[in-house]
Amino acid sequence: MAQDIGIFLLDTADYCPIAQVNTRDCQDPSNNNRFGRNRPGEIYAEDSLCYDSIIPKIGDSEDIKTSLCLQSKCNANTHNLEVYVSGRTLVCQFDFQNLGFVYQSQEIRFICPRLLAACPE
Amino acid sequence: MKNICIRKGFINFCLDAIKVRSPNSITEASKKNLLSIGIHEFAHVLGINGESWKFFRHPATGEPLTARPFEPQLYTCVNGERYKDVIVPSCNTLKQGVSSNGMPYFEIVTPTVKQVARNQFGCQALTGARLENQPTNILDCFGTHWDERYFYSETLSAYYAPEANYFSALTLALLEDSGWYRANYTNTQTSPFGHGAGCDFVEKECIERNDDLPMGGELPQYSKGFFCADAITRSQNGDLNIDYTCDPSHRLKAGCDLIDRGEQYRLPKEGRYFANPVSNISFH
Repeated sequence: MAQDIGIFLLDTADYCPIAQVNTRDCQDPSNNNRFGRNRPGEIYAEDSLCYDSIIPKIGDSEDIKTSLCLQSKCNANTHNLEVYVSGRTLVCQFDFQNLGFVYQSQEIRFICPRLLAACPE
Repeated sequence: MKNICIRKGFINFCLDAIKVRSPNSITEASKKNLLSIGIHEFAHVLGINGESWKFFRHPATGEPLTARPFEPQLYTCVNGERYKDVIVPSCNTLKQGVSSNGMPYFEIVTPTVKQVARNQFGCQALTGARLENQPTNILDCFGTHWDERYFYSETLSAYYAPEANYFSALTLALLEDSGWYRANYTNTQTSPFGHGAGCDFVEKECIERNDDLPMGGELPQYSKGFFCADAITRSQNGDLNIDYTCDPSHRLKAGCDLIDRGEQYRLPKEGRYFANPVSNISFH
């Protein structure tokens, strides 16, 4: 069953689960609208990073737990991660900070990554 | 020049396995992958190899770190098997330990490697950097790669993925601690996996048992962003439902490699992190 979605069994990782299946490169511009329409606010670009996100339900549907590719910049001076979305700059100041933006009346939430992992340098 | 070391090696690329775009060209992605794999293999030739640890020398004095003449002995290797005539590197190079899930491992404890590993995780109590304890070669007693569990995104871990391919200071530190090279760290990259995650990331298990949850386990704080716990499910018509999250580098969207694989793929007990009986049987 696992092989048919290309899972490489990471027994070498002591079977610890890692997000590495069916990857979509946020930094590849050719991925824009390649998997259906882009999600709200997202842009696949060389300076984009991935963020865990919640897209609110519409009507009777459930909230969608997903991830978004958002243009970003690691600011070496402030040690913050700046996120450019929907014409605004949002700033991740600490690990797992909750931030949000409004996109076409939808309030999208996203979670900042560990800053030392997303901006390791 | 008593610490001179001449090394030779062979790297075989299976040409039939390289994706060809047209008769005379391959894709840029293939070129990049082949280059990365070449760098990985060349590092083995330079000395990152389980057979090399015993030959390491002190970088300043040139004296062997493992006493000569070598004394072969009957020894239990990392796979639990006992072998004859094993030359065990000195304890100033390699030490043995047992991980939180009961699996034995070896770790490189040379000074530069130890300090780089401490800095990587932000854990100054670390005694070294662990080697892969599921050896990729049955003749490999101690391990030849950095352990995937701790160093997933390192070029010198056993598993290659384009997004998990950072040529780090840890690898150069090992080459420098061999006593055969002086490293130039200018072009190294910081590997994101486990970066700054603290001692718990190294010393505790990737998933924390919690019997109150449906799957019987969850991501502890130190694992967040590095490991995942949202299983891929299969709908009644066979489609896969993937809750996309981010890979450890945060450059890619990705699904968690946790999936019900069926009874025939029952994991060894050290790989069963979830308390839920179904998960225990079949989750990766």
